[in-house]
Amino acid sequence: MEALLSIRIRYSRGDEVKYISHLDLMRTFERALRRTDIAVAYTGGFNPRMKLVFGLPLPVGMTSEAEYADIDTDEEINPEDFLEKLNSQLPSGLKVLEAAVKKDSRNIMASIAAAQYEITISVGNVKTVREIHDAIMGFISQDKILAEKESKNRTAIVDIKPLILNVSLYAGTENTYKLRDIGNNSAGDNCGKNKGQEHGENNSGLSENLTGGIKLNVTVRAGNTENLKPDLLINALSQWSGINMKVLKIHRVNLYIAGEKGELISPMHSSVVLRR
Amino acid sequence: MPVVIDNEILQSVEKPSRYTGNEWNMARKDPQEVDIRFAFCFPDIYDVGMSHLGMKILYHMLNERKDTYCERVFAPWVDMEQKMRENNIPLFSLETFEPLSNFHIVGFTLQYEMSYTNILNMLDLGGIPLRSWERTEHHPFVCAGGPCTVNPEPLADFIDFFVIGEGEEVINEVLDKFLEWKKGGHPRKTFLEMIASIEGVYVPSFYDVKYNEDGTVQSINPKEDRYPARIRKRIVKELNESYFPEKIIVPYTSIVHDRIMLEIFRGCSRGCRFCQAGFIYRPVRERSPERLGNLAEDLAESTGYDEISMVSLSTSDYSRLGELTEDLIRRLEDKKISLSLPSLRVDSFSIELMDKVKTVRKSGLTFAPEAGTQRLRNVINKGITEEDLVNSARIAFMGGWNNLKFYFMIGLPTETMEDIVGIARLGEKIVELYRSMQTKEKGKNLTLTISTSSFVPKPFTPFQWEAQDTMDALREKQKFLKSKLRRSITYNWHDPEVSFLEAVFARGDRRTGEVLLRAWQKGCKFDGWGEVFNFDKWMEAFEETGIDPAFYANRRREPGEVLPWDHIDVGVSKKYLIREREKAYREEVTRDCLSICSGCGVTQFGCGICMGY
Repeated sequence: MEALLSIRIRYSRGDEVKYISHLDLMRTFERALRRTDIAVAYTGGFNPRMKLVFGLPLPVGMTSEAEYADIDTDEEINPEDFLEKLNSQLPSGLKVLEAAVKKDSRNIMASIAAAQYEITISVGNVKTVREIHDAIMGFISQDKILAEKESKNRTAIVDIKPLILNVSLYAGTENTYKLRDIGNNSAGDNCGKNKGQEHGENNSGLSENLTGGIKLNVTVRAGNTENLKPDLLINALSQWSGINMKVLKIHRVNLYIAGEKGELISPMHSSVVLRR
Repeated sequence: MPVVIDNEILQSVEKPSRYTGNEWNMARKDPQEVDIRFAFCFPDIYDVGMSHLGMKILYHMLNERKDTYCERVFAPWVDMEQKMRENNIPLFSLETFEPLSNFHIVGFTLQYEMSYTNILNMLDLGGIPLRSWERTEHHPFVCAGGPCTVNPEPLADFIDFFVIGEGEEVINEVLDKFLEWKKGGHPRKTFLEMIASIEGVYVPSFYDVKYNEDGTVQSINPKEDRYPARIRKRIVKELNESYFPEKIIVPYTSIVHDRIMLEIFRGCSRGCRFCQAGFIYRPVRERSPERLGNLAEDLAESTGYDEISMVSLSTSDYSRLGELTEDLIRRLEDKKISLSLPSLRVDSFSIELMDKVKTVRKSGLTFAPEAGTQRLRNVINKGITEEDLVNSARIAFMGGWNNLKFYFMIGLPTETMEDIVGIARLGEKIVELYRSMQTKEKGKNLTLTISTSSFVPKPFTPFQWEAQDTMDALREKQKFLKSKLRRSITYNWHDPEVSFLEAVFARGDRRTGEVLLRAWQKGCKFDGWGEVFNFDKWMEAFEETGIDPAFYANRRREPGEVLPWDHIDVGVSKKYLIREREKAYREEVTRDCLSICSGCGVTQFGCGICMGY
């Protein structure tokens, strides 16, 4: 039986729930939905399940402000009402930030193409911004960026360059250095907040001393076909540069899907959902 | 001061959500606004503890009190414990991350003897002195409740007071007294004095135990006349009126029993002679189908769970089972909530029911004959006949089930190899039956699993005087059975070493507490977990303390002996247990309470099945 509507939501995952697994998360949403009076659609057969699809799973330990899910309903419902009702039943740490009726037929899990992460790292004995800046520039300027990828029985060496779309460095006193931008990530409208400002080439702060950790804002290919995990990227960078980098925190800032022309757009883009 | 755990630590352990709390329906209070901070400690990991219904009932009930904040504490798994010790992180509660030593009262639930070392470990991790006489005004009171309290003696040195029986009413009385004591600014011992007169409360330090030359108990006497000579358990007389939570905590992570549990009745009328629970929870008291139906709906609404199960010692014996299940199915159908069926007696009624429920996967039906011959089944008073079993199997096969599990015990009193052979013969009969019934249907094979556990004699059962088989004897029987079973039958057995230790502590006296301490000092913990259990260390602990485990496990007692739990009263008289023991040897069965009252003694409570339905 075809469901009446499909509601797409964007929700955040905070510190209180960053340690629950993806399966736990799905169960939490199911139970929350069951506690509302929203007429969620179910599959048929002997073991009916809620028609609920989640976007790319967030690894345990990460927070996010751009997680997505598609929920099918059997009755008409106003997305604002949906948002309020679901929020009233979600535990602290989970909050629906946006909701809209989906008009595209693709589900969120199948359509994820890229992800943007804000990675806070400590950089060992590195003293100046320039050092870290140059190390990262050097790393991503290679023709091939090799990284170790572990699969079940073996470790393979792969070229992750095609998977890295954008790298920005935030170091020193709020200085931003856009180190790589293959220009393929036009965010479109309402893609979610993009932390910091793009200064373009701004070399004034390079000689500054590093106070504390740095932040890398990276956009990478993500999803079912190609997926670059942020940890993998940092490990490769750390190994290549010889700098002892430790990931302190990873926050997912955006998820993107592919638009009609293959460009990266927000899952809440007007070509995909009904915007009021 | 709340504990703060580094992200690095949480990222490095298995299932970090065991330690982070924040679950739906978790109690949130301002610790400054309450007078009593109570830590409910379950001596196992989160996944096991959160499946325990008793904790949920008491947790939510205590939090209804405005003057009390009840928080949960579970045993950290070995990986987390290591990190905690390395980083000086004390054991903490999940609600506020408060270190255990900052609570007013710390309460443990005694569900299983093999969890005792975890209790010591948790006290140690919490910075609370292990022995009760080492605690001062700065330390919490440590109490314990749950089924194992009917023989509290092995833990007598470590627990300030026990609460025997059902906790709902008595714990509130204890907390009321605590408030009084706290306001009065009295010394520590005064509190224990104040609660010693509450029925169901046992303060072990107020009692003297003397021993005979041969090691048996000579006497257990109160140190002062004002302390009761015998402590009678507490029960909730009107179960249907008593508290049951309308909302319960919903964990994030998968736990052992992850669904709404409806306690439909307490006690059991069958009188199987090996079963402690059946005796200590008498008399049978039921909740009405109406109350249960309402609770089911309230709980579904407040939790969002999609599965409800009925909990009791013997669900098939609930007096209005048909009415209850029909009502539940009706109420839950539109909400797409499934009814999980516990191990019901396999008869046409239950097969019909399972069909109705539909969502029950046609996997595993369980039967529990417990013994392989009619003779031995009569001895243990598990009246089921071979004809019953075969009939049930036939009904199951006709209903489409082809996966059966049979539970047995080995080492039962009066058991011979004949009885072991009987188990194999029964298995054989079932396999033959399946073959003879094979229609041109699916041609699916029968999966038959036979599982044997080792008999452990328990206090307050007619078998409380029996000797447990030695580990060697048990192993021999397991080997023998395996050789008699055809290869197509899967055979599961339990390690006799754990059963041996269980037997020691189930009937242990105070002196066994020393072994417990020594074993824990040597690193024993999570004894119920195969990967952590260390039998050699336990044996060393016995050696070093000079205590002989066989004295407790493998020695047959005579009815004249003073038992270490004689000062506890669960309502069933010793005379009755002796009568039952004699009937067992005569291979005579005793019928269930509903058919005819056999005078076990619990009519003294004046409620439940004794007063008729």
